Amino acid sequence: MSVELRSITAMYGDVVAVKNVDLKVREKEFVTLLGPSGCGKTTTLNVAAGLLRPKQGRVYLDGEDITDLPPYQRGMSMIFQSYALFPHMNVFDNVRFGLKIRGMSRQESEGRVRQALELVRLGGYEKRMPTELSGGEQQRVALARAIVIEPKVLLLDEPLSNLDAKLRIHMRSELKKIQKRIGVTAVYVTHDQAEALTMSDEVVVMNKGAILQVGRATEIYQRPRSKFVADFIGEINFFEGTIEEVVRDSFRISSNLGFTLSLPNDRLVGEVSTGRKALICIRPEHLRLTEESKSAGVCVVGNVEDVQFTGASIRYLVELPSGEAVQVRETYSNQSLPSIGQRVSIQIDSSLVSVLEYEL
Amino acid sequence: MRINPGLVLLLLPLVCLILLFVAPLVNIFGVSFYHYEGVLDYRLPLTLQNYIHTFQSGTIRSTFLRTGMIALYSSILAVVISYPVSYYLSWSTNRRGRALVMSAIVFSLFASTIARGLSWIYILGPQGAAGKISEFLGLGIGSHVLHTEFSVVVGLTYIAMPFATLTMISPLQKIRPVIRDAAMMLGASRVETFLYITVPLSIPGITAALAVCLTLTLAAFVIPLMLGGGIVDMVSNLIFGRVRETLNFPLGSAMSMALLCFSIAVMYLSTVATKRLGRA
Amino acid sequence: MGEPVYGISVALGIVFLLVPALLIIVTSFDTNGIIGRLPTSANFSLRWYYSFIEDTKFTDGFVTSLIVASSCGALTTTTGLCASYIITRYAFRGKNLLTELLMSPTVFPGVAIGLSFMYMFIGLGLRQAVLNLIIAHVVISFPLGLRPLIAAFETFDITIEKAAVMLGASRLRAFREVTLPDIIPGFIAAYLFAFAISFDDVAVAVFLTDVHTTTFPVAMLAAFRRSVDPRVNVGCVFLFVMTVVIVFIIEKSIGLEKLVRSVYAR
Repeated sequence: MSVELRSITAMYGDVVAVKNVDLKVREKEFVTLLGPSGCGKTTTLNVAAGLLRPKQGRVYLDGEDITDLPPYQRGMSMIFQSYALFPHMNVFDNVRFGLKIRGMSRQESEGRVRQALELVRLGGYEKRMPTELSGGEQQRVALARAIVIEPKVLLLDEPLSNLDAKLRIHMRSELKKIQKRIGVTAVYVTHDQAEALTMSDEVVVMNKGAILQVGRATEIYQRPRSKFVADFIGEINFFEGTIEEVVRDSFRISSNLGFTLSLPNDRLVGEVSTGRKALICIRPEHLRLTEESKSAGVCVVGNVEDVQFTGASIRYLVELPSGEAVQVRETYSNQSLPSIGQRVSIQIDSSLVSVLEYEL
Repeated sequence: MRINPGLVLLLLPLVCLILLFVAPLVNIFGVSFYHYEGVLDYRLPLTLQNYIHTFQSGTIRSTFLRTGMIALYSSILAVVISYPVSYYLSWSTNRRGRALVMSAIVFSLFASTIARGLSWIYILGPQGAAGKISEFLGLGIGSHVLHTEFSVVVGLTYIAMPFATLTMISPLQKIRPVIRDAAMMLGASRVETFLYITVPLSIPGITAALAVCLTLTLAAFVIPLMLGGGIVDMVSNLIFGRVRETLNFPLGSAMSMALLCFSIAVMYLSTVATKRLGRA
Repeated sequence: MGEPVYGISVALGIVFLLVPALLIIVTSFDTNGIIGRLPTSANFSLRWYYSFIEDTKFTDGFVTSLIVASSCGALTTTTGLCASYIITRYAFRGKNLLTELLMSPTVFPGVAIGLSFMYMFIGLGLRQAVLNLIIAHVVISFPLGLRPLIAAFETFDITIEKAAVMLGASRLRAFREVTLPDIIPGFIAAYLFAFAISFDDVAVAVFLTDVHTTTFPVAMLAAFRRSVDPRVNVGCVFLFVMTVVIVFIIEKSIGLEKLVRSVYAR
């Protein structure tokens, strides 16, 4: 089932939580709404669920307008950050609840409940009470409860936020596997970009009530279209620059650090016009450190100010004469590592650079 | 061991207080076994006569029964009527509304029992509002409602309501709203969510409120006096009669002990019953 | 939430609570008033008010009740202070038992308490009605008066007091200048609870009053039983005014919702 939100504006009291948001989720897709707290992602989810009535805009399920339908008539399921298991019922009754409402007798639902519990690897837990379960187990019961009714769409509101790190990573793949297996459309909300990038077919980046960019994980990462997206996902370096010259399909941009790049037009987001200020962006892992004497091509020189060993890679902070700090990530290799205070040259590969609209 | 003088100062009033609390209980218990020979004439030997009389007397037995029924009716009514109000006070986001309702409740809580009882005479009395309204509507019920069990139940419900409301607020607030959202997302309509989720989770609050109301109503004195007019007496009125007029303390004490045990029994049974009902 | 049904039932509940009070106020001004009858004509005056104030039964009773209630309030608050301080600051075996014991009078019917005190006082030869009333009222108002005090002590952050002690203040001084101001609202609540319970009490007072001394509610009740005296109505209006004042004080000092939450949150 596909879900579509058109021009949704929703408010909490007097505060506008989302403004003019359009969202399209295709059938069986796993779409993630990603953004910092307060960006409106949960609000959008609640509008899709029917728990919040939008001030403006319509909601469509498989083309049908369901905006006026209450949440219990939409055929969607939702998993909450706090699991929201019914405290006065045991696991079996919790999972069975949706079936009970649909008129299925206890005997009829037994088979399906058992199946759902097996799917989330909680077979045999039927008689336990929610208070006897760990966080991870509660979350899996919530999942079983949500999928046993065979919903058309599965909505997930930061379901893994309350779990510890290792469990979270494990559950990510579990969730994705189950979603693919039962073939349900999923809309997932999180502020954790790693989650969004690993799990989603498509990522929707939101901030301050608006959608900034929609695309596959690779696209969002490699081709951010605004400073916020570039900054929010992964690490990035920003340099101020001015467009010097525009020549048919390429342009030349000079940075305030002295170097000049010649780039094809498709690398630029926004208008290509001479004299325009723009933001040159490059990710730390796309930069290389070499000795000053060995530097070639476009580069800037500075002193290593900090070295952070983060396990799989090493993060360097290089301070330039202008005072700016540049982040560089190198994977651990056999070559000798620059040390603090050492003078290094940062190699810039222009094929990995993007240029964005200038923002402060 | 050094005794902190401050502590002694603190403990002294407390000790006096405890003595003061324990004294009545011990008193009543003891006196109930005395032999009553006449006004202010109590003597040994200790006897069970008072208790035997309490259980054997038809008047006393029926009064106990009546007291139990009236207390039960008014407590249940009070809890049922107060439930929406408590619900509102727990969940409403409207500050003005909540403040208004809360003021009404606290006002009723502190208001004089006599005054509140009197106001019902204006409604239920022979020339009261209810009579006039039913006359107007062509129903002939109004005028003989006073001095009946009905009027006492109404009066006691009225008195018990603020207590029920306030007792239920805190337990109701413990029900997390997200649980209701979860139920709705699973397909439960608002009514179904209320029946299957909210009510079962309210049971602790309801049980507590019922207990509070029962304690209050079983010991009622003023309301049955005013709205029962001597025809509908509850146990407290009976005890008053026996003691004040004939100074028969032993009997009065025995009846008080009986009332105490009766109250505890009724409360226990109602707690069990509500829990049983909640599971259904 | 089935909006209209819900809203209506809340509104009805509130109306149910307040309308009867209105009736009393209105009828107290009815010149030709008889108890139980709504005004038949628009003849309003202060006739019954004058009559009421002139009758010493009522005024004496009012004064007595005032004395008893205010003393009871003071006594309850002071002993409550000691009790709640000990309960919240010290841990000892039997603490729960103590707390249960102090809360126990609620289970007792008022008449039982009145009756036993009457017997005790007669036996001990204590015939001072006012004193007797004060003592008995402390017993019945203590449980409810204790709650706001315990709540006030529990919510008070004891580390502030400890900080004061570490800065050199004696324990008593720290208590007086740091703790006390913070728990004043709890005091006020406790006092008013005790006052209200004492003033309103009939079940106990009716055993401890005599020919010379009576309390206001007892006097009113007597008048009510004797005849259809409209002055009882006037008395009720005075009582309502007193209630409004009490509620107002509470609202200004702590705020109603906070008070209720602290007392009833268990």
